[in-house]
Amino acid sequence: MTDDDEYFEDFSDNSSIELSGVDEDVLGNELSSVDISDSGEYEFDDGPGNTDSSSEILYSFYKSRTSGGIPTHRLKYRNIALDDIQKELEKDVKKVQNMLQLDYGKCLNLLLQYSWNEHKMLDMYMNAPNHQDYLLKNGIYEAKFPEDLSRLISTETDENILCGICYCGPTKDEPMNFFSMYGCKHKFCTDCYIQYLKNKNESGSMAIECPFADPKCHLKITIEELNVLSEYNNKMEEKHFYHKKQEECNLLSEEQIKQMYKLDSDSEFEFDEQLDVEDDFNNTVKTKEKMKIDELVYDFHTIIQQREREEIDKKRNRTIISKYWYNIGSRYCTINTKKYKHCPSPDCDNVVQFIGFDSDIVANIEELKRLLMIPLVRCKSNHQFCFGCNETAHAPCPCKVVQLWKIKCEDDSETLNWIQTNTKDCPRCHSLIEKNGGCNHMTCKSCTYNFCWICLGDWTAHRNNYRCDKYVPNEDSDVSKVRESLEKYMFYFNHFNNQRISHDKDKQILEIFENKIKELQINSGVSWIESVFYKECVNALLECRESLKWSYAFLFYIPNCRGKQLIETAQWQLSNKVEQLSRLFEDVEIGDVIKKKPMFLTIKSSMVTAQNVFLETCIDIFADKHTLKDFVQRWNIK
Amino acid sequence: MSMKRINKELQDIGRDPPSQCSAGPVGDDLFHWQASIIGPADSPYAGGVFFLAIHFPTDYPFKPPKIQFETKIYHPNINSNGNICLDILKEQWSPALTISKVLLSICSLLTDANPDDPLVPEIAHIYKNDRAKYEATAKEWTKKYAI
Repeated sequence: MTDDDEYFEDFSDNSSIELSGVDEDVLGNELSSVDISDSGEYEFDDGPGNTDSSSEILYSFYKSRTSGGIPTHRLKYRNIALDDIQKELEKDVKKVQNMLQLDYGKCLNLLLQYSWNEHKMLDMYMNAPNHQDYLLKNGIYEAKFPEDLSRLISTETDENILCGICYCGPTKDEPMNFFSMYGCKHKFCTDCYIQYLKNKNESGSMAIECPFADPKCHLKITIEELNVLSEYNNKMEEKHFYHKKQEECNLLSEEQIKQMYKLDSDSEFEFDEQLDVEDDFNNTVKTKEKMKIDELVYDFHTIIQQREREEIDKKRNRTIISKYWYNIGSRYCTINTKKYKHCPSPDCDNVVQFIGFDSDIVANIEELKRLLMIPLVRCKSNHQFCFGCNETAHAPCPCKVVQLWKIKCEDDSETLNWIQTNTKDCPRCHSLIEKNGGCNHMTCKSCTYNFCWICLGDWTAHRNNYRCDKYVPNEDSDVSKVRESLEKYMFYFNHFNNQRISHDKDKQILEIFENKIKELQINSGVSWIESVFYKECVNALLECRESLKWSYAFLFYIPNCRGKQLIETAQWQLSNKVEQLSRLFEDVEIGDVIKKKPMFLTIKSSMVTAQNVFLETCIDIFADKHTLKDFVQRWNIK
Repeated sequence: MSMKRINKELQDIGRDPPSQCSAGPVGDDLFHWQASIIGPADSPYAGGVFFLAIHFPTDYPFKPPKIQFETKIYHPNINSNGNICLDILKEQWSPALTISKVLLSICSLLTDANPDDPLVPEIAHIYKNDRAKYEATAKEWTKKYAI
């Protein structure tokens, strides 16, 4: 996009983000979302044909209607990286910059100060009696930056200068580098300044103030100044890194490299003996062998280089400036939580951008939630999560039910076990009774009923001996309501927990397996593309386990009805497929994985089909408005 | 780094001690200091000596030191555990601040409390509405605990 493409979307008012006239074709490359700007102009957010794969429109469910014809009210979204938000925000800043004619970083700081509420910021600015004072109050020095900001870092040899943080100073023989902001000239040594900024970055601070404290300097560092220090820091770290690597590389001899590849020198001797017989032939063999070694050494070096590059990249990702933008981006997401959601997976920086709904009835997430639909989205790294509550995927359980279930689990699970093992109901009044002694002759405190602990029968029948020979029927007709509900909860909780454990165990096993697959790739030359299927199967399995897990929580809340039976049947079918695939993972030897690829794929696809059918069945249960209304009223879902 | 800096601060305090205050390490541990503040003359704390415990975090001075009153004190910004509500000990901390500057800030907090951002709302309420009562109680506590 060129700079001419002005970006007119109003981020300040996040409650009224409207997207009108969104139309797209199946391929998603004819996207043109139109926003109405304040000036009343129409602006194309993304021109047709300008969309790359990352901005493809995605849907929260694979079908717009279930097989039963029920609309699924899909959420439309797009995958973006935090960098993309940065680009959008940069456009905002540029727009303000054009109006105020200030340096870029100063405009950014102003917008940060007002939580990106551009109008409020401009209002305050325009109404301020003195612009310079207003800017100063916001920690901004009005005078324009010079071309070359790198001069903010100066090398000092003057012994009278002292860094106010580490209390160290330069000497004539040992000069030190100092940094100061353009506006205040408060000098601190570069190491301390960098450490200060890193600490502030770590705590998510933005528009960081100068550390000078006596009297407190309220000037805020701009992105341009931050960049100077960040670049300096990168250079220093890279220098340090290469120095270290060089030392490590010097330690490795060629002999060690050969050993790493198990090339014993014996094989070479064999060739030497034969050298007299067939000179030419062996020469070729030897060259070949030599070539092989060279190749491997070359291989080894490429691997090392690759690792080095990876490590540098890792470091790059954590440069001061990128971390700073990261903080800005994630703060922006939290301010505009209706439009953006940060992927909740640990260490995942991806963001999902809300576009709209594939429905005439639903206008916002709240309405969708009221219909008990679950807007599941996938981030760029394929992590599935719920756009409604920012939790990991919990279909078929609606957000509100997940909340109910979690509260219930917190309340009940600890006491439940104890109640189950230590108490019984009085057969007459159904109070819970704890057995606190060895004798089986119980007297209920609330109704004074005398009964036998073992058979729960009237004690009068046991009058003469303290032994109970009576058979205890399992389906005791008089189980209290409390116990019944506890038992019901117990049943679903156990299944829920069981799936959770299975999920974690599968995950562990599969992670080990995955590493072995990687080895296989290196050793036997299986291409990366060919083994991708494996990862897909793993993900599908784990996701189905999640679905199964939440299905138990869901079923706990569903009243007995025909719909419930249908769900249970679909659940059973899904569960079958899941176990089948899980079993396959356990049984197949690593070496056979590639050979068994068709089998994996067949079971996987039937499992995914079963999952879809299952999720559809769960949606269908609320097709009837009365069922939905009853359900919402019964569990007090607002 | 933090060790060096704490040592430097200790030297500075020894060379040029701030008025009304003193501070130094407890035993061999440089990261644990004790400080004392003499109640400012123009405050109800006059005549009292208040002790404070100072703990330096390992990433000092990038993180603020933890400072607590060890002597009981009646003040809207200091609670019964001795915790102090002072901006420079929290989000307004700067690595260019020193213990001696912080102690001076605490001294001025004793003279001029900040009842609009109280740690103990009850005391703040009395401070705002019945200054005489507040001063009397503060004097009484000083007499009882700090003399």
